[in-house]
Amino acid sequence: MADLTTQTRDYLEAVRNPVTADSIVDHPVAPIIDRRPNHRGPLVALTTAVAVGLVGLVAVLLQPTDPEIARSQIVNEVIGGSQENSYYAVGFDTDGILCAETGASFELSRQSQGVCGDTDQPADPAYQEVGAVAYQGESFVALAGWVPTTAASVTAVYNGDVRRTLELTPIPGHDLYAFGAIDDAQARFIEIEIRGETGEIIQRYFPSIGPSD
Amino acid sequence: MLSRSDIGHQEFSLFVTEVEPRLSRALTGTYGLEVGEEATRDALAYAWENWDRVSQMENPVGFLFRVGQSRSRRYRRSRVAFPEVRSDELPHIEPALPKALEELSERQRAALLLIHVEGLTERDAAMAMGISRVTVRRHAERALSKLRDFLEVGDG
Repeated sequence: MADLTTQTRDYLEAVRNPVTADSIVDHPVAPIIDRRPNHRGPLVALTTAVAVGLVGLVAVLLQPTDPEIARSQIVNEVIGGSQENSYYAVGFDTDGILCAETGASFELSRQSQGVCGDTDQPADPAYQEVGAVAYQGESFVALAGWVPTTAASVTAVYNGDVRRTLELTPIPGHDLYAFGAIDDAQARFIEIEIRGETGEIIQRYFPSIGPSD
Repeated sequence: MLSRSDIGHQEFSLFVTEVEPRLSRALTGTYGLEVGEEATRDALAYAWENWDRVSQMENPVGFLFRVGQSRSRRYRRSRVAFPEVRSDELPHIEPALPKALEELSERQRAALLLIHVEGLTERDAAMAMGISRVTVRRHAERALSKLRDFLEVGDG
């Protein structure tokens, strides 16, 4: 038997469906859509819609009246962030782990998205070197995260060409900066450029991306 | 005389020839055949749309893995299934390998494939997956260990 790495490569090579350049270039790129097959009939779909509506109504009625509580799913002790209509926050969870969180409006707060320090070692104070998370709204993107203080500047790059310099806030007691931003743009792909003293890129980071609907 | 778009098309075709097998294996091995193919197609479409930028990249496989990962989010399955091996076609492959791959977590498969199968550095794999270097190494080690245990082999 060949070693496991070779076996895995050969197996995947044998079963995968190759994609050719012509099939990409000759066909316009379709917008991102839900491609899962939908076998539901109209009656089932209508019933589902009514049920979802009722559940949504109950959820709205049961929501706490304090938006600060409703919004924060992960971050318990906020270090920095914004609590505007859409929001982002960086801080510590109830176990003292550094986390970043973004979400949509108050009504959609249950869809908030977060990332924390090394989740394999939740009790370990050695955080990830960089952590960031983004939330895609209908017409905006919210971004939150942290970087080491060796970073001189951090830039968010949306859709490959829209650039925003992010404000950095020191995190007390840690060699880390917190950052965040809300941008009035629909971003499908987000990258963070971390630059050093002389402006050179010392790291590129791709935040995990939360719900877009 | 070739136009600029013709030259771009030719360069892109060469790029796909070189990059697609690695990207496709990594995405297919992480997300399964159907989603892996869609993710590969989406990632390469992004590369073509942003060819001026992507063509200059040092690590396009890692970057495009991240694109495919991000774009496939909506149609991923909670559990993947890999087709069985036909021993007459692939006699050197353990018949239980597909089942063993299914037993790994998504992140374990991604780390294993990016580092051990496609040869990315831990740093590039970590960037591609959006996690720390320490975590990606741990996922890769656990993946190999679980594969060995499942297949009852001593050497990976």
